[in-house]
Amino acid sequence: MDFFRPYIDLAYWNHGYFFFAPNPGPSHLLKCRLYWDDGRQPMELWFPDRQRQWPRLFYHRHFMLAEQLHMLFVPAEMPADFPDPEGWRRQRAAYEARRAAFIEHLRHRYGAARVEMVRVEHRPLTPDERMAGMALTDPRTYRELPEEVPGPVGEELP
Amino acid sequence: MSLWQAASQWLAMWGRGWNRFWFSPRLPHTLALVRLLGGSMLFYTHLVWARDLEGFFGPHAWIPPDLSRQQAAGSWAWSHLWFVQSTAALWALHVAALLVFAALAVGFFTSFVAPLAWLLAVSYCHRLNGALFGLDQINVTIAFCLAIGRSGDAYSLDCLWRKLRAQPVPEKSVWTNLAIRLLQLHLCIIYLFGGMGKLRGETWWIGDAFWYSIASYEYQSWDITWLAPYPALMSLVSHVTVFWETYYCALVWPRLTRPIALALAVLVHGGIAVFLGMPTFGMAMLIANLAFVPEAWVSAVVACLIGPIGRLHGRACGPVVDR
Repeated sequence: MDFFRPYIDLAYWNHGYFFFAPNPGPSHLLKCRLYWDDGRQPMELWFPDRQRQWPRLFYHRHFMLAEQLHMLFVPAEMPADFPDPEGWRRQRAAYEARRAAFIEHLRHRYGAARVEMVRVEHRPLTPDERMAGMALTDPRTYRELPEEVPGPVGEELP
Repeated sequence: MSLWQAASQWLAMWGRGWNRFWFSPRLPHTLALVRLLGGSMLFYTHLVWARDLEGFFGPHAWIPPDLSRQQAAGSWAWSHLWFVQSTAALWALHVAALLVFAALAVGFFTSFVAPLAWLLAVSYCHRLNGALFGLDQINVTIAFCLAIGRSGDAYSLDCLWRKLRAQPVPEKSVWTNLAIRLLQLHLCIIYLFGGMGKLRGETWWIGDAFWYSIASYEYQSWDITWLAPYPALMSLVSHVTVFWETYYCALVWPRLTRPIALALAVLVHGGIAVFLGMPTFGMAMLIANLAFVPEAWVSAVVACLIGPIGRLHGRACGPVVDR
């Protein structure tokens, strides 16, 4: 494979084709809270947000930013049974760098003094819940993800 | 007949088949339609970045240039957009890229803009790692094949220009066949790995996967969760999807099963486009699937669809006759 590596990397073949595999699962969003020093009220922004991001492809780009940040997540403390300590350090550094870049982007764009960012998991309803009349956006289906706890690993995106 | 003779004949037969598969000249109409639609998709995909060019490419982007470059460290990935700092330069380069994609779509200086469009699409992908998804993978695959084949030999401004200057119109080309064959094989690989990836997931075995796809609020563009009381139907859709995706690489070649494989592609990708909020991805996959549609069909359908322009173009680029 190493022989083909330059070609594969350069031509952007260095990815897998998954398309809702292995399982369609919960979505991951970013809830951001922006603060200013001049007395303005804090503002809450969600990424993705259907109301703010259009056309659909533009919305989907923001969705992918949130999903792929979540995919990078590994906890700050390496779990004792983690198989690859060096891999963990690399991935943690990548996650922290990307998260910091997202915060800096929002801080710069809105001129905010401080930005808080939380990853939020939104699970799909079961058929029974849907038949019982529960809405897809029911608040009980959202869960804020702490930075310390490992997230699911290995879920790929369509 | 000795064993040696039998083996020689068998190898010669395979050699002829190999050459016929890859190196038979092919008419341009299918690849030209892929160019027209795929080029339009590339144009639209990149046009949407203009909604927030600074936010995705500028020095304070979601993923700034230095971080994007750092993420690609150790690989051979490269993007010209890593080195752009000024807003004016960013816009100038983006408008130039849009012009290239538009030129590809309409077939203007196609043999020059097609490889350039592929290089640009790849460069954008390397810059935007972290905001990409299946659409970008398919866009690049289509652009790669267009860069190889003679996609400007039909349905193009190049073709009309030749007509105006009374120049001969190219007919069959080995390069066009190579491009179509590569696109066909890429599709088989894409579906095979997509199908095998699904086989690792228990929801696809149980039959719940379709439900959990349509019940995802973030993906959903048309709510069909009223299907909840019909678990058997949802299981059927899940299982047919996995079966079709895994065996596409076998079903799409025989003439008997090809229409079934392509009809299922229309249903699956049409469904993704309409119900799962990814019209661009769904359409890009269908554009790629055109690689399996014979040139004569494409020519007939296009002529029928565009009427008088089609007749003009037919005169310009010649009728499809499988010589």
